[in-house]
Amino acid sequence: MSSSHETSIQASPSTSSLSSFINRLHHKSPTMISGLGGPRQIAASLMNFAMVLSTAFMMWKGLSVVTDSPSPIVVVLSGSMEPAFQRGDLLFLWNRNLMRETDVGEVVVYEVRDKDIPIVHRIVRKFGSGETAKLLTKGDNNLSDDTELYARGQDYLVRKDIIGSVAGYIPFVGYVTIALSEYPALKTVMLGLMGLTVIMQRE
Amino acid sequence: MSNATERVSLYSLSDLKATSDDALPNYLNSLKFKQSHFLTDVRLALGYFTFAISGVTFLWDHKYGFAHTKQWTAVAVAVYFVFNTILTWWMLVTERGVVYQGTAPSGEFISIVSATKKNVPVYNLTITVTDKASKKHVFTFSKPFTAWFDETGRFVAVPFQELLATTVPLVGKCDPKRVTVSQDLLDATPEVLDAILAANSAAAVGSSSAAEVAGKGGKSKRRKA
Repeated sequence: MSSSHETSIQASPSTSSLSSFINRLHHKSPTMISGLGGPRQIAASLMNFAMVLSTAFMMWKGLSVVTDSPSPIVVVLSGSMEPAFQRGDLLFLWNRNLMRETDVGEVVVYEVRDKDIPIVHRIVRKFGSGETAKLLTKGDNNLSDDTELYARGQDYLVRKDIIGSVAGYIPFVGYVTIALSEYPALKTVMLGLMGLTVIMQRE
Repeated sequence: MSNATERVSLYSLSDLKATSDDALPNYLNSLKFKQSHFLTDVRLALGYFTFAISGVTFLWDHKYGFAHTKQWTAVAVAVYFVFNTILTWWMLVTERGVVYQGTAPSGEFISIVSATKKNVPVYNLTITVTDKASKKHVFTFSKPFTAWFDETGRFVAVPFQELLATTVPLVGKCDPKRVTVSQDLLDATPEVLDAILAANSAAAVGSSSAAEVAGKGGKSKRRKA
């Protein structure tokens, strides 16, 4: 089975919507004290920009802490989970076992040892219970299970390989980040535009 | 945008306000007021400290991974949002609309808040003067921007400064030539009157501006736009 069948996904700290919100918040703010404060005005503009970025980042980290997942929002990059999830779907993950254990039938996102790209597939077999339960996953749209995708010598997953179960999703929204990662120049453009609006605007 | 000789669009309220806001420190500092940057400095300190927290969190996370830094990240996120809230409060409440704070040569503290209402081309200033006995005097004025922008959108300093000097006795005392005498003023503040008289007698020989002030009498005369 070729590796193109794995439903790989991508972390997306969807900064764009957050920042525009924070943007507005900061622009509603009072006019900065100006006049002779040239360096101060520059420092203040830079600060606004820094706050936009850092607030987005810290919201992302806050979500990570709450969900206990290193990457609580991910984007589906392939079709191996169709028809449940399509390319471009935005998934929200939850990685705490408050009420019950992660079990067969759940769609989970896992990371294969020494591989960067997380994969979203469904748990189809479970042996044992607790932290050491042996888990097997499979993409709904794939012919065979995921043993081929695991690392060399890894025949099953355990709980700590999983970075979250899918708790909710928004279709299509993730195409923005797919576009951003396929055309990296867009990232630079977006960051530049964000910086410009923060620095140029004054009310 | 802030340059007084630059033209602004008369239809852009934010440009009009920004230009007028910038004219305040220029004018008052030229009268030897000592501008206080306390509010800005506190905001910058709060902001950059808050940013530093997120920067450190980013580096930790990048270096050690999420699993090993979970507790620290949780603490950092909490601290970050506490400080971010303080910063937002500082900007929205303490600093709201403040465009100038400073100390007059004679020791009084002056704080100026400017405001405009959406789509209303009127400049609202609230000037709070705290005298040496910590007593607060509040002066307000609301004037249309047309009083100090000409029809091409150029800022004209003299009428703007006249308004300020006439409204706030403290400014009038520092810049008597810009005070346009009205009956209210004559009644209200003898010390300003003294300053005006002193200025006029000093400049009596051949100074046209002083003569103008003296000649105006009742009402301030606007320049032709």
